[in-house]
Amino acid sequence: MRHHARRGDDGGDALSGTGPADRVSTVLDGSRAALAGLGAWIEAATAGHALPPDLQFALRLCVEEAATNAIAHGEPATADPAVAIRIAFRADAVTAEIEDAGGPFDPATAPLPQLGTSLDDTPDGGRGLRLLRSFADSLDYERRNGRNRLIMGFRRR
Amino acid sequence: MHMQVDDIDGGVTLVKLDGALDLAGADSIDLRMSTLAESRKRIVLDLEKVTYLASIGLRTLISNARTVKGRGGRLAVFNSPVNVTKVLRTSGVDQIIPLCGTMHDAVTTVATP
Repeated sequence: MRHHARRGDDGGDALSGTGPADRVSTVLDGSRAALAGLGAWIEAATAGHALPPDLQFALRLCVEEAATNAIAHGEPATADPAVAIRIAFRADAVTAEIEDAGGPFDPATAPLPQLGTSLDDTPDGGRGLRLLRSFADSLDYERRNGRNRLIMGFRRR
Repeated sequence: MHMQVDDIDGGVTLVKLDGALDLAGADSIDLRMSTLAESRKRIVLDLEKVTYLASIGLRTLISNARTVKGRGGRLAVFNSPVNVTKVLRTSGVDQIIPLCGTMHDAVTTVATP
């Protein structure tokens, strides 16, 4: 993983919110091991920002689910399996951006998998999208230059 | 993630989970959970100390509940913190695995055939 942290820079890109932001970023190499270490990275990256517990939980959940999707559903033939993660902290909101070079996939509008009604007919997986849509306050997706970019917003309450 | 197993009255096995049930957490309990699911018929999972639950953890809960059911038994969870409960409800897992408020309710649920 490559990690970066910048402070006090309001770069004026597509991240929503107002005021200067503290930012952290990392790049996952697309391996299961990188995914397994993501939770610890988020905990460390958010320490010191005094996030409310609910926001902390939602942020971690959505970043992990989005990164899991990007890695699990990326096209195997993709030359670049890396998943970039950027988190910006502002006084009123936190935004998390996930970018990958897999096939086009919009988590905000993709059809939700069927869940089944009992243990016998329910799939083990396919629940990440529901969690993303419920726990993030906003989801914005764009496809640009052959890359997926998902921006998730979380309001400080 | 820590996992403590106790056999309690009525042939019920109490499993207390402690920590984050993410990819690393699921990896750390999968073997012991599946061994239990293949050998016990009445399992109640105490989630009070579960600080985090992601879809990979739901996978662990569902596959083990299915194994227990396939052997004619039942698995229920109880005591889940607010955000963990929200994950279980949002994902629809509460519709297929009984989500109980108290250990007493969970024990009663798994004792009912």
